[in-house]
Amino acid sequence: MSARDTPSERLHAYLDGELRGLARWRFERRLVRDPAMRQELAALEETSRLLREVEAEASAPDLWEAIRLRLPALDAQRAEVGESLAAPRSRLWALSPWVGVGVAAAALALAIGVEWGDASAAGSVRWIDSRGSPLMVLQDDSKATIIWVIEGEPGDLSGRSGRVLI
Amino acid sequence: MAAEDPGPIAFEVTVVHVSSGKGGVQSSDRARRVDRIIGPQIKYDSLRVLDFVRRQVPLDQIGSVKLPSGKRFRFRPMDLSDVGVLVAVDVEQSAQGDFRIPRGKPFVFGGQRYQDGQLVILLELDY
Repeated sequence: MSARDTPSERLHAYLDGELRGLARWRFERRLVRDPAMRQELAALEETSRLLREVEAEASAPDLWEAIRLRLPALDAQRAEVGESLAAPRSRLWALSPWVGVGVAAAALALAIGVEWGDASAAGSVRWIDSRGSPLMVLQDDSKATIIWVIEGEPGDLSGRSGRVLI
Repeated sequence: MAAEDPGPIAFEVTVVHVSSGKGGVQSSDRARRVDRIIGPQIKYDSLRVLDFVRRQVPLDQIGSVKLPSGKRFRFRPMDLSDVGVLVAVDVEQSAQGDFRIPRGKPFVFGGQRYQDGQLVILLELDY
């Protein structure tokens, strides 16, 4: 990202998840103040959504199933978890391995880079990057937001009570 | 028209150690409160409050707390609204993200290995 980037180029970079850190929050602050830019972003998102729909329709289901069968188990698991993420504007950036665990938490995300495009009224998480480590959102409601990163040996993550066991 | 400067935002940072070792929950109001917040989600046999600090951080400035592990916990308030403060959080060599932290709702980050257990960091608004 250079200083000569136009607002439009920044908008595309933001939409593609390429803005990080300082550049990202600066852009989001500008977005808050600039209704025209928000409108442009919404239009781009709509275009992107329509393109995804067209692409999805163009892919024969049997071809996808054939490809999916060849994917490693973790990738298949990742797809399933990804499909279950409820927020319609959620976007996954990174394709690092997801790890399935049996934690029966209210909100659970095992990802390396996850963005909640539009956090719910109670939810606090906008995006998280755990730099390669499995990560869980154990709770994200009106009472608290609890994020847990699993470093090294994870121990027992499938506690009988549905809690992370230390 | 320039937005009014809200001034520094007051934060509280509590650093806790949890482990499967003996000891139970430390006998203090702060430790018991942390236990009430994280206990339903995380099972441990020992909980100790290691540090508690207050920080006044203006918008777009960085608040920093050195953790017992030697790593830093950094946070940058980015936007203040009636639904809370949007905060960019960075736990050195562990994770980073953006979180909306409303008043009265703690943000908890845990999992960093420390001694025989893990560190848990609570970030809350203090106003």
